[in-house]
Amino acid sequence: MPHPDDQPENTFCGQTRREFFWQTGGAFTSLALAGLLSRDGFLSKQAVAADGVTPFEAAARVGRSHFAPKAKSVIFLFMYGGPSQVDTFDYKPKLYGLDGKTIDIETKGRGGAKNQGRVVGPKWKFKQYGQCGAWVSDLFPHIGSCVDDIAFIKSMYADSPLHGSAMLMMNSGSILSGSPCLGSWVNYGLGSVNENLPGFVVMLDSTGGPISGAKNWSSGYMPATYQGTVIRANGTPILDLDRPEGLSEAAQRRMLDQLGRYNQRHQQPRAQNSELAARIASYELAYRMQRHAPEAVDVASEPAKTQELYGIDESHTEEFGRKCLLARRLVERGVRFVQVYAGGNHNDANWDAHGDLKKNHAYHAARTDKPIAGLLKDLKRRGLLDETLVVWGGEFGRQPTAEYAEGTGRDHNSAGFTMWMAGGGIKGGISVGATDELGNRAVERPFHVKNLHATILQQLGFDCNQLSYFYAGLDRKLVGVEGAEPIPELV
Amino acid sequence: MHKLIMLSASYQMDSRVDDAVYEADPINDLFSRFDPRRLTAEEVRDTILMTNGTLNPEMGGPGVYPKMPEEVLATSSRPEDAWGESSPDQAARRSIYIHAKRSLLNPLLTSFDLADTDLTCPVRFITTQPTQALTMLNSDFINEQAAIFAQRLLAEHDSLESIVSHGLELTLLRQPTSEETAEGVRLIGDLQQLDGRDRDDAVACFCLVLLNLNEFVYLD
Repeated sequence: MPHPDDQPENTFCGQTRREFFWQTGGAFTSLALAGLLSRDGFLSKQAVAADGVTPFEAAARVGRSHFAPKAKSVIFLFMYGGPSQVDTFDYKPKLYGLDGKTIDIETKGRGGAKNQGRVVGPKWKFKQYGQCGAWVSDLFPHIGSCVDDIAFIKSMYADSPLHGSAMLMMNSGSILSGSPCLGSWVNYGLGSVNENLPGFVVMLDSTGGPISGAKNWSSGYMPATYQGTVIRANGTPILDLDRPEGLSEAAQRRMLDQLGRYNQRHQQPRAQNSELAARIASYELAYRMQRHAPEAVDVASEPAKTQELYGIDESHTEEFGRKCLLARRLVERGVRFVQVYAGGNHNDANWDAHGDLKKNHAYHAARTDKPIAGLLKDLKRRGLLDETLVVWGGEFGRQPTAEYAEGTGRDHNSAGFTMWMAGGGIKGGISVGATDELGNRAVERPFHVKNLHATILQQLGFDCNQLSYFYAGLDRKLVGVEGAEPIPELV
Repeated sequence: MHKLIMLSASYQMDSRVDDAVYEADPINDLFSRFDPRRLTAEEVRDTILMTNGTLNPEMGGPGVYPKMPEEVLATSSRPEDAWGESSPDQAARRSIYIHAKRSLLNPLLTSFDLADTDLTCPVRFITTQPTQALTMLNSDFINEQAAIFAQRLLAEHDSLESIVSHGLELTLLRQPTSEETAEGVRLIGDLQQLDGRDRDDAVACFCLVLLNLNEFVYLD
């Protein structure tokens, strides 16, 4: 491609700005149909991807990473609401003895900035697990049995201590809505390997979505092709996947055949128009999705032993277990990014333990502990853990002190919290970074959410400072134009 | 000047192109044809309502709340009070009057590349995805609209030929060919005889096919 400087003035890539965007849109028309159309040499006609620089194929084709990828897909277990680090994985022995004492401590949560607070001692005991001897609280005995495959990051920090903006930060790298989510970036970079399933799948809690709903799986300024698709673990998995009640497959096939005949006749004198061809093909893909997607989500076809491993046989773990097992089935079938929400709606329907910490965390940990451990073990025994990156964490953590005069509830804390990763080339049995002795702030090797994002992209084969998307005059990146570095200790 | 332009052969071209013309003018620099475009999200919905006769052209006033599928409501953090309710007449207002809630958008509109509600959007992307086809084949909305379309045709005509030919005409804004009409009549017949649909229902299925035509959603 000629250098933009060689072009006449007031043009962009030799086109007007409007033409450029128009044709870019045209190129993306076919992205979901890349496999089909590449046969017709369609892709080779496309010059550049939407960033205006990357050759189109590099962005759309599978396996064109910046370097050899370790992971093929990501399962992000999102603990919505913000689990407390000092009650889960960040062992702070000193905190027990301070229970009930008011101390000088700087915190910032939804209750604003404070300089003093009443310590709430950790409400669970900690034990060491595995070869590595990682400390895990009694909330997670099952996850405890997997610590040799887990890398803990105990010095996470984020920009906002409020749910809405913190969720967007964790999901899209920005506290403001409008940016593409991590799953969008992954699919933008890697493309899909299964055209019968969406590449970015989100599973929500039965109590509802997280705050800001669809903003948390939006493709922002990228085309809608990259937005997350909500899949349900029960009933019809994808919106409008089922034929209307009473319409047989044969009748629908007959309708589609006639639709095809009308469309073919319309296309004949417009044979050069690939958009029309793409739309005709999209109906056949939809028809195939109707047949294949239900199979992908058919958790009941798994052996009883496997279902038990995920806790599907017990009422309190049934919901999250089903979702974790579904996540495994989806990554097996080539879905790039699966996000599973533990908790939804508001207040105690998620990890947001402002009132009764014991009740809240006991409930949410009990629902997720066995399913998560089941997922890790199942992935491992199938040899899938090496190529599947599992991420665990919330949008922030919680304070070591109480929010109110009474009770055990903790306020939000974005100054220090714990997340962990497993599989996908991540070193197991390690821990990086640390909070202060009260677990309040990240003090040793602090890592921002951007470092986490950079690490995830790195495991998928991308340099986060190179993977860019051109929008509104800027080469946008998940980690922002300032850039970020992956966490080196984890690999 | 406007008259001169609009009466010119170039201005009146449609999107058809033969191989020779395509070779001579591959990217349409010479205006040898019209560059077709897909209807925008709002246009797709409005045109469906216009075609079956339910579009409410009322202007102004507060936003309206067309029915939101339960699955979409479930994505909200407060599913039970996430969305309002409008009468059928109000729900059939132009798409521009649909209440814009940034975290809960109409699935038909988002599927057809509605602009992101957070950002300025100089030009919209036009994507073509199988999920659009699913929405246009299986959603409650499209099936309700197809049934209303069928009722309109059934009320206006007795013979299947007239039903089919008027349906095609309303969707394509041109006289259908006799072949197109014959194929539509055959489809309705087959759906009745081979698939056991009753007449009204078979006509509704035919109307659903009409609303899915490329010629319907592309301006060409």
